[in-house]
Order: sequence, then structure tokens, then C-alpha cells
Amino acid sequence: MKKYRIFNLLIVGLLLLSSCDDFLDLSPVSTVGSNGFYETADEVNTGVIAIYDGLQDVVETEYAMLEMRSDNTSSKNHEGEWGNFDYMNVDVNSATVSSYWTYNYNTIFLANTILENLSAVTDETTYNQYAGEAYFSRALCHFNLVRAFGDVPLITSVITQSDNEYFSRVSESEVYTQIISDLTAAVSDLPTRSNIEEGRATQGAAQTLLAKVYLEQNNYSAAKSLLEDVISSGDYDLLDDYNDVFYNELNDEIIFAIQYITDDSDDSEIFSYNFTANGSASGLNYPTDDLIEFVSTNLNTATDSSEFNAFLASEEDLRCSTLFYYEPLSGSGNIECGKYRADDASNQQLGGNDWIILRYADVYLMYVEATIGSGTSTSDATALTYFNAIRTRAGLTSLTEVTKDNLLDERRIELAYENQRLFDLIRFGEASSVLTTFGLTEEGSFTFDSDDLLLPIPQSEINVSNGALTQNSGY
Amino acid sequence: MVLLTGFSSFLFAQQTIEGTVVDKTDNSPLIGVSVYEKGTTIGTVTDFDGNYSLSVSGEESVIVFSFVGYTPVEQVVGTAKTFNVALEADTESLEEVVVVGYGTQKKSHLTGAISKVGTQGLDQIPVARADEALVGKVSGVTIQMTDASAGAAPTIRVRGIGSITADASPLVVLDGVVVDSDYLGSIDMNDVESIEILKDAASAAIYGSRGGNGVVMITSKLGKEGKTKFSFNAYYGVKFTAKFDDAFQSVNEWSQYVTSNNNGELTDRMKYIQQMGTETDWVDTMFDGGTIQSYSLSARGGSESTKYSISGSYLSDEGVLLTDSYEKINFKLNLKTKVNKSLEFGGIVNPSYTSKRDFPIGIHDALRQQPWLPLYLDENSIQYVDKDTYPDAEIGDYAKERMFDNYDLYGDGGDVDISTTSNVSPLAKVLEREQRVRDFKLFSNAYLKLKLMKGLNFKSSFSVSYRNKEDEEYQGSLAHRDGATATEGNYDTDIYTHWVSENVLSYNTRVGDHDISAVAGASAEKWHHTSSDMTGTGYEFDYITTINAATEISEASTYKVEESLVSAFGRFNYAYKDKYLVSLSARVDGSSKFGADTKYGFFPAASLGWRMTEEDFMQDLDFVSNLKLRASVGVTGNNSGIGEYDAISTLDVVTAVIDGNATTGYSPSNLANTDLGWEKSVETGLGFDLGILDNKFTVGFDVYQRTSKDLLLDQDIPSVTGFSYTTVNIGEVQNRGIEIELGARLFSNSEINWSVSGNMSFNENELTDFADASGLISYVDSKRPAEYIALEGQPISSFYGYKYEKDIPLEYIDNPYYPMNVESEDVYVKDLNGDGEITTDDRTILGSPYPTFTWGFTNNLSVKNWDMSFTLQGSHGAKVRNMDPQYYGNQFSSKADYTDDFPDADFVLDRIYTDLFVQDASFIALRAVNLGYTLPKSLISKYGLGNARFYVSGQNLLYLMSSEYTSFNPEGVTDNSSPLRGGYQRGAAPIAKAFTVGVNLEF
Repeated sequence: MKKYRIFNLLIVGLLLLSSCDDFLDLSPVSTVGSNGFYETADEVNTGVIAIYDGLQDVVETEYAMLEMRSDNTSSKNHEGEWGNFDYMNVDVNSATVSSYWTYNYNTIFLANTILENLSAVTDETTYNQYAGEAYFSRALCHFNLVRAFGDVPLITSVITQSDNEYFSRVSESEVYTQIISDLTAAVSDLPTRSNIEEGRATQGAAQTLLAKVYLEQNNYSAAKSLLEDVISSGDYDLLDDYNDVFYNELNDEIIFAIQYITDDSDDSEIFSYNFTANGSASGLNYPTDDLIEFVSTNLNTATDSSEFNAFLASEEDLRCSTLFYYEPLSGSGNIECGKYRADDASNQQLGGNDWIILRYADVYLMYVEATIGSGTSTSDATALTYFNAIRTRAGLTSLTEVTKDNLLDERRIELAYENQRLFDLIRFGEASSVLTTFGLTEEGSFTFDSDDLLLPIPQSEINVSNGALTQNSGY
Repeated sequence: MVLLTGFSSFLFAQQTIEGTVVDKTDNSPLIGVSVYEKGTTIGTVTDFDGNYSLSVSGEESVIVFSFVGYTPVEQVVGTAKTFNVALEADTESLEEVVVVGYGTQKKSHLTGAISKVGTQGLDQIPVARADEALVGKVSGVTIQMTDASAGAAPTIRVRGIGSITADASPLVVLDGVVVDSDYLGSIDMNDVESIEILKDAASAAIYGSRGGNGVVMITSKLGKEGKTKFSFNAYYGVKFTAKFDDAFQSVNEWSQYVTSNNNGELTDRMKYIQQMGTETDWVDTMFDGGTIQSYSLSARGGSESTKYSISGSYLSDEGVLLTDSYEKINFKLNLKTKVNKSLEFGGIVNPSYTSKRDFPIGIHDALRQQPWLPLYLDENSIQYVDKDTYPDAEIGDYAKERMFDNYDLYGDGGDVDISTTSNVSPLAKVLEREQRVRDFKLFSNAYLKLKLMKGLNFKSSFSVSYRNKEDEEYQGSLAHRDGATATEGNYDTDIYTHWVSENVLSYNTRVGDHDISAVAGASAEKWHHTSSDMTGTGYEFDYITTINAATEISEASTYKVEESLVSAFGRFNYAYKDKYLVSLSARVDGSSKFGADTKYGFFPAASLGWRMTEEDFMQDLDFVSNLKLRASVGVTGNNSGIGEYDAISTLDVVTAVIDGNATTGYSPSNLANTDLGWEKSVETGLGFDLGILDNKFTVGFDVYQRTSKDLLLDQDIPSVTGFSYTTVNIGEVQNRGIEIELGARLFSNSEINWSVSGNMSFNENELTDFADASGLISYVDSKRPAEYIALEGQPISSFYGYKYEKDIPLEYIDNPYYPMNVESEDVYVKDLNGDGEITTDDRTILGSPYPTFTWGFTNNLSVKNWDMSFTLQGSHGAKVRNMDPQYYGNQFSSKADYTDDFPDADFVLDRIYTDLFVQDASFIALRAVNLGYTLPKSLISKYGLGNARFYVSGQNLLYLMSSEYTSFNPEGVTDNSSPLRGGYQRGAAPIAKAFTVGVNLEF
């Protein structure tokens, strides 16, 4: 009897041991195992959505590296890492720079993942759309990287940490060749605006971005032809009111924007908050006096809100009211960035403003740039029409001839805070003279060095590259 | 049972006997001897003087006197009224027994390195947690107050750090069952009988994959046969902290500093501050002290077949910080019963509840304040408020720096700004936020023990732990400069369940000179963890702080993970003539965390012992009462460093906004590594135990070397792969050390007992192999990347950076006098390689975060009814990276704050990158001191009391630290996320001192 009882107990023990392998083979509950994923078109689509999630991270602090390093904006109190951007003195350990690098390459990885798993998509239209979105995003990120860092690793497939051959920097021209090839594929693969959900990459977006790339390469004819395609597509239009471009989202002027919604910890942005006095360094991306005085006549002398509003009413350039916002706090520097204000969010740190990457006004201005080409001005009727459309909307008089200087100035105002200024200066060959002058002013307070135009390769990346990555000169 | 005992006594009591029980060798009274009538439940125990009194049924009754370690004596009552009995020590059973994995072992047969802590006195130390009370008691075990706030867990390390990513905390085992490591935070010290720490791999290997960091074995109290014994223990006291305010200058001190450096002139700002005349002592405000109190009541007793213990306790610790506090309620029921000769069952039910409120910001943030800032606006300070900007300011509001800007100091329309931040007052930041963690835990265990034949037992046990952790936070409308728009409520819950099924066969026998014991068993365990997080924002008022009052739910999610482990284990112990000792053990573990090819791990161990004092040739050396040599080798593992599903690649759910709507996507979250396996440690040890003059003096000596390899590391990889790190097995780290434990019974008679004990530990940590990661640089805070290096030949992490040379002269600093206490952000650093420029090549190792030498000393003295004890503890050789001076010194200006022409501008760097911030963390502390008085028996017996003792006790009353260290807790560590970044401190809570009075009653 007793023995029988023991026997039972031992059986229980043995059963436990024999079912070991099942017992130890646990599948994730709240995540998905990647074995056997991307096997249907819907699964591939979730991977494409992940690309847009990646792009949300990419643009979140881009302004610090692009706009604050130009003469347009700065942090308010110039403290710490943020001050280093203002002073063109970026540290090799900058967390913002290394995040920017990481986010861009993560998005490239997500795009490559899609390109390698497309076979599950059988419908040709869908297949082309996903391929186009992946090509577009991969090109956008490589374009971000090559403009910010110069020569960079070029990643066109999914790699692992032992694939050392991919860690080295590749020449700018080689990177551009790939970008052009990706965007050319995207232009042919992507549907037009009306045939795809609002906010995803479109043919128009790919054409516009490719035009921008061609301008960077001084290939004016190719750029112009693409811009003509965008304009003739009829998918886009200038809004009547400049302010609506930023506060009436997904409008006809937007060609490609990264979208956010308010009060959502996953899908809200914090840049709106950081552009106010409550943000890091007492506020980031504050317009410089140089910018305020460039656009307006009196605004910078206002001492309180009512005076500011009175001055606004008399400003010739109607864009002033969108570009500048007066915060009645004590001390100096009351004028904040007026674009992307998160007044509709219940928590200011969870803003819902979309970050515009490409918009129609830029298409017009790029058209003018492509028309001027290697010359110094143009009186081309079409170019003048487009250029004056921008000026008229701003309440300004029309011009009969547009010089490169006119164009650069117009771009500075129209696209202020939109991360265009630094690259415009470089592309127009004006970076050295403009930034040297600005650096010598009291608010600039830096000595310009042309090495500063490229960001440092993040030290943390150099450390783990087994010697493959080298630093930019000047760092 | 209590009732039953009383009842039967009442029914049959016909005769009362009394007497005294003493030790036969020295006639000293024996306390706690069971005196009972054979075959009945009538019984009692002897009191502090060895006296007893018992009512028995009649003249034919047989009275048994029994006591652990003594040969029992039986007496027939007859007509005598008094029985004075002298018990003789039973040398065979007197031997101390030590708890080991899945069993117990005679101390004399022990071949591994195990330290035992009797808990006498530990329950009187005024600390909130059981683990804090163990500080300084055991060699080789460091228990560090890395977070000194109320109720926070200390960091426990056994024989140094042998892992990079994985948890380095020891495994905790209660009465043979593996429990959650946080159990040490919920148990009541009054329930603990003893604590054993398995330090070497040979002892811990039977816990296999989880024994790599040592094992803490807790044995809880169980009733003894006889009358129910109640005990009540309570203490009450105050907690406070030492002031260290060298870093903070008063308005007067700073004014003097300005005057003497600024050609005898005050700046406008300092004139304004003097005129305002306000001054706040922020250290006093934030370190407000508190009370600590603890009450515990237990009933323990039983019969020959059934023993039980029931206890309940309450502890409240208000902490020394403004809002921190800790409350603990604990119940425990322990029961075991013998059904018949061969069957026994029992179990534990142990629910506990803790509630911990945190100090919501770092100490550095709370103290970096301008001393002129008042706490609240009053009639004086409101006069200086800028009414244009703050028209609504009124008396009683929290003061805020910006309010005092734009002051017209000279009445000429000019304005003086003195604010340094747009932030709200730190007082509002602290008081207007509530962060609380409530933990409900239920540990339960049931077992069945079957005697199969003489010496052979089978035990089957099943345990379930349940833990519900609620984490609630609210940020009110006054807590943040953004006001109501920054209000936020969080409610996070974590539910953990863990079950363990264990089946163990054990066998003990002695055949002639051969003593054999063996254990074999199997176990299966499973963990479930469900977490849920909710965040609400946009509260318009502060009346309701739960999320129903939020206007937006900005986050709501739940997440689940599971883990399982199966094991088979065994141990074989053999002793020949109690002289030659052998112990062999092995365990196989399989874990769900690992890849298919690496699922199972094998962990063997062997140890040998030689009791030389049993040899003939030692017999002449009378003064050596015990000498045992020990040698051991063992393998243990650690699997805590990786996530549940790291071996397979997973996709996380993400969202992006498409067409204005949040849209679901799946994004790969890691690179898969199917080869991911266990961290393994191989440890070899040699040691001896020596007893001199009847063990009046004892020495324990151990030397060890532990080599841990295949360390799990989240290795940084090039981000071009899409990921910035991946988990790999890499490298090897060694801990080598010496441990010495000394004990002396200096004096012992019936009136005076004096004993001392001490321990010393030397440990050296070395990264012996780190493959291509050697020289890996890491940092804690990407905004202040002060560096650490993991370099082969050095400890697993070393502080890395530049050597300070000198300060920048004041004349080159744009604004040297404001804010108050200001220091320049940069200093000149040394050009170590002499190449004429400062580059990364000028960095060097600035010290190690690990102590090289730690020690403890405990003194116990009792004279008649008085007793006194204290514990001193010291730690030497460690450094700490103390970031606080950066805040206290307001070093936040960038380079633009220097004049253009300042010399050698290329030779300056941030102070935080220099050795100025790497400070000596050595300390010597008087951990616990306790003075007690036991009331004379004659006085209390008429109140029915068995024992009554009153005491006063102090904690950390003396705490000496290096003059180089400039904050409040050299043990403090605020980032414990990786041993690669050891000893990082930014705003650590201060060392708490306590002074309490207490009472122990037994009845």
C-alpha cells in the first residue's frame, strides 16, 4: 500500500520531467516572434507602418542640428549640449547627434526589411506601393545622413553586427548615386496622392525629394523636369492663408509630412513644447534677432504683448504673425517660434503638430532655383509667376526679376524653422560668408570654420566600428 | 491548542512541582528547557533563571526534561515537590546544524564556505528591512545602502561582482523554498530563526543556474513543544540625518566672498538679495527627519506532534526626507504536524503589505537652490514680486525664482533679474507630487514528508508566490512650471505569480565509521508577469488624482511575459570517522529563456574536508579544540541578464499616424541570437576553521577565486545594423579574495558574558578577457557623459577621464558672482601624454567603484541584567562618481560665459570629466548600538511575564567618511543598471540615523 503511494508520487515527478521540452518552449505573449512573419501582404504592411514610426523619431530633434546651427534660430539660454549647436561647436559625444544617426539607420533597416520580404505580396499594385515607400524612406534617410555628415555608410540590405564591410564611410557621390536610384524607383512605384492614404509617401513626394537631390547635385534640368511633373499633377496647391499650412493639417500644400496626434504618448511630439520657454535650455529653436529683424521692422522692440500685436498689424510681411509668437515672460527673448504651437494639446508635452518635410511652396521656389540654374538671376515668366505667388500670399509686392539673393532671402522667410536654411546656405555657396558674419555678432558669438558645416560622426559609433569609421576633420 | 492545554491542566492538575534546571558542567541555569508530563500535553519551559513550575496529574506521572543539545532526563514524580535537575551535554547532538541547499548539515561536517548569522539582537536594530540589519555581520558579503530612502532595498553582493548585465543579487530561499529577492523587504525580522549565506560555488551549485551570486537561506521560527509562548516586541524612535552644508553658502558668506573678490563691491544682485533679507536652509527643509516604529506580536508553541507559529507585525518608517515613508504589515503562519510515525505535513502562509512613498525628485535637484528663495510668499517677500508678470501672486503661495525678477533696485526704472531657472520651487515639486508603491505579497507553501524507511525520506512541496505591485503617481498643477497642462496621473500595476513544485528524496545513515547522506530531486517552476500602465493627463483640479479625473488617457497598455525552469539535482555527502569529509553535488537546469541549442546547463561541485583535530597526532595539542581544512570547486550559473525572449527575434507593436489616425505596425525589436547561453562561474576555494581552548577563540579563513565567463552583455554594435546593441555571451571576469572571521568568548560566567566577533574581507575584481570589447567606454547620462572604461586587467568598470589641473581664474569668467555658489563649468586639465594638446588620449583611469577591503566588528556584553552590543563596519578602497557638486555649484554655463581672451582655452574641459568628481567612498560606521536592561524575574513574575527587557538603540550614530567626499551618502548609487557603470551617484538619499527605545516581552 505504502509502496503504491510512493510509486504514484514518482510518476508525477517523471511526468514533469518528460514534458520538459514543451514546458520550456514558451512563445512570447505580448510580442510577435519574427520567425514566420511577413508572410502575408497585411503583415508586410505592418512593417511599412513601422517605417513611418521610425521617421517620427528621425525628425523629432532635427531642428537642433539644422536650424539652430544656422543663423535662423538658437536655444534661449545656450546651455550645455543645446548651446553647442548654437555656437557651431558640436561635441562628438552629443546624444542628439548620435540619436539622429541611430534613428536614420534604424529606419533604413526597416525599409531594407520590407524590400527583402516583399515576395509575400502578390497584388502588383500593393507590391509596388510598399516597394516605393521603402525606397523613398531609405533614400530620405541616406539623404539626411549624407547632407549632415558627408561620407556615410551606405546600407542597402539587412546586415548583422559581424558584417564589418558595411561599417565604413562611402563617398558622397556613391551615396547620391544610390539615393537617386532609390528615388527613381520610388517615382515609378508609388501611387499619386489621391490613390493612397494621406500621409504615406506618394509619387509627388518622391519627385519633389528627387528634385531636391538633383538641385544639390547642380543637375538643374533634371530637377526642373520633375518639378514640372509635380506642378502639372494638380495634386497640390498653395493655400491662401500661410497660417493654415501649419494649423490645418494634411492640406493641399503638404507633399510629405510626418504626422503626430495630440495627447498620445506613442504618437505625440515634444518639439512644440521645446519651442516654448518651458522647453530644454529655457526653450529651443528660438528665432534669432537676426531672423526677427530680417523679416520684420519693429517686432523686436516690443516690450509687451499689446505692443507686439500693434506692431504685427503694421508689418508688411503677413507671415510675421505665423513666424513669431510673443510670450509675456520677464527678461529678454520673448519671441518664440510661432509655427507648431501645441495649444490644442491638454498636455503641452504631447503635441500633435505634423512635421513638414516637403511642401508645395518649396516646389515653386525650387522651380525658380532650377530655372536660374548656374546663372545669377531669371526673368522667366513661369518662374516669376511661381515666385510672386509666394510673395503675393505674404502681402509683398511682385518682382520682375529674381536674383539668387532674392531667392535665398525668400526661402529663409517662407521656410523658416523647416530645416532648410543651413542646406540652402551651403547649396547657394553663401554658408561661409553668412555664418562668418553671423558668428561675429554678439548673439552669434562663434568663430566660423567651414569644418563646422558637417556634424561629427558620433564617437560612440566610432568606438564600436572596429576602426572602420573615421571622424570628420575639425572634430 | 492554547485552550486545550489550559483545559487539560485544569482537569487533571492535582499536584504542583517546581525546581531549577542547570548545566551539569558549570551549574549555570538553562533557559528554555522543555519540562512536560510524558504522554500528555501538559508542559512548560524554564525561565531565565532555569526555574520552572508545573502542575502534573499525579504521583505516577513521568516528567521529561529535554533541551536541544542535552541528553533528556526522565523522573517519576512520586511525592516530591521539588526536582532540581542537572542536564548533561550530549556531544553528539550538541553540534550546531547549518542549513544548506535542500537540507541541513552538521557544522562539523561542512566543507563549503557558509556563514551563519544567529538573529539575536537583529530584531532590535531600527531599520525597516531584514537585509539592512545584516550589515557588517558576515565576511564576503557587502550590503550597501545604495538608496537610503525609507524602505528602499540595499544592494547585496556576495564575493564581488561576477556579471555584467545580469542581476548580481543573491538568491533568497525561505525554509527551503526559493522566493522573490524582494522577500527580504517584507519579512519581519522577529520571525527569523537564523540566516545562512552560501558563499562559495561548492555550496551554491545545487541551486545551479541561480546560485552564481550566492544564496541567502532564511529559516523562520517555529514553536517548541510546550506551553504557548507569546512574545511582544516594539520600538519607537526618531530618524534624522547628519548635516553636510559645506557646499552651500549663506547669503552673508557669499556676500563676503563677492566683496573680497570684487574690489570691495557688492554686485547689484547681491545688494538686492541682502535688501530682500530672505534666507532658506534647503538642507533643513528637505531632510525633515521622522519617526520609526515597529510592533510585533507572536504566539509559538505546540505538542510533540504539532508545532506552530503565528505572528503579526506593523512597521512605520517616516524616513528622513520630506515625503518619503514606508509602512509594512506582515502576517505569518507556520505549521507542521506529524500524522504518524512516517507521515508529516506542514506549510507556511505569509501575506504582507508594504506601502512606500518616494521623495519625487533627486536630492541634487532639491538642494541646488538659491538660498535667498523663500519657501512661501509672506508679507515681506511679496513686496519684491514682479506684479506685472505675476499679478495673481498672494501671500502663502509657493515662491518661485522668476517672481523676483525685474526689481527696480535703485528706484530709477532699471531692473535687476536674479532668477536662475524658470522652474517652480523645489518645495512645490516635492509636495505637489505623490509617488507611492503598494505591494501586496502572498507567499504560501505546503509540503508532505514521508518516511519510507529508516533514514530515507521523501518530501514533496508546492509553493506559490503572488505579488501585486501598484505604482501610483500624481503630478499636481502646482508641481510644474507648466501648471495644469503638465498635470499627470500614472497608475501601473504588476502582477507576478511564481509556482514551484519540488520532489526530493533524502537519505541519511551511519554505518560504523561511515556517515552518508544523499539528496536527489527534481523541480519545475514557472513565472508569469503581467504589467499594465495607464497615464492620464489634463487634470483641471487637484481634488481627485485617480485617472477618472483626467481629461485625456495618454497611455493604456498591458504586457505579459512568462518564464519556466526545470531542474534535476543531487548531492552526496560522505564522512569517514567524522574526519575525512567529501561532498559532491550536481544540478541540471533547463530554461525557457535560451535558444534551442543552449537550453540546458550542468552545474557540478565537489568539496573536501579534513578535521585534523580528530587525528591521533593532534591529541597532544590540547589547546586546539577544532581544526578543519577545506577545499572546494564548483560551477554555478546566472540567467537573469536576458529577457524572456531574447534568444528569438521578436517584433514589438508600434504605431504611426496615417491619415490622422494612429495605425498599428510591427517593428523588429532585437537581433536574434540562438546561441545565447548561461553565464557560468567556476569557483575554487581553500579554507580552514580553527577553534582554540574549547572554541573560546575561533578563526574561519577562506581564500577563493571565482572565474565567471560567457558573461551576458548588451554589447553596443554599429547602429548601421538598425540596432545599437545586441545581447551576446562574451568575456571573463575574476574575483579573488580572502575572508577571515574571528570570534572570541572573552568572559563567561553566570553574571557576565562578553564576546566579540569580527570579520574582514579582501576582494579583487579583474576583467580578464573582454574579447574585442576591451576598452569599452560607457556612461550613465548621455547629457553628462562622464565615462567608464571596461579594460582587461582592470576591474569590470573603472572611472575614466581627465586629471584636474587648476581652476580658471575668476577674472576670465563673465559672471563669477551669480548665481550664488557658482563655479565655472570648466577647469584646466592635465596634458598627461605631454603632446601639447588635450585630446581623448589624455584620459586615464581615475579609480574603481569596488571596495578592496571591508570589515565588521561586533561586541556583545552582558553584566547581570544589563546588556550592551554594537556593530562597527567599514569599507575601504572604493570610489564614487559624485555628480552633486555640479548642481550645488551651478556649473551649467557654457563656454560663452568666459571672456574671449582667456588663456589656453584649448586646455579646459567640463569638471564632470575630471577626477574632481571621483571621490573616496570609504567609510566607517557605528551601525547599531544597543543598551538593554532585563527586569528581575522576581519583579515581573507576578504580572505573568516570562521576560521583560527594555532597551535603547541607535543606528549609524557615528558615520565617518572621507573629507574628499562632498555629499550625503558615500554608499549611494543612483544608477544600478549595469556593473559597467559602477558607483554613479546623482542626488542619492542621505544616510539615515536613528535613535529608538524598545521593549521585548515574553509571556
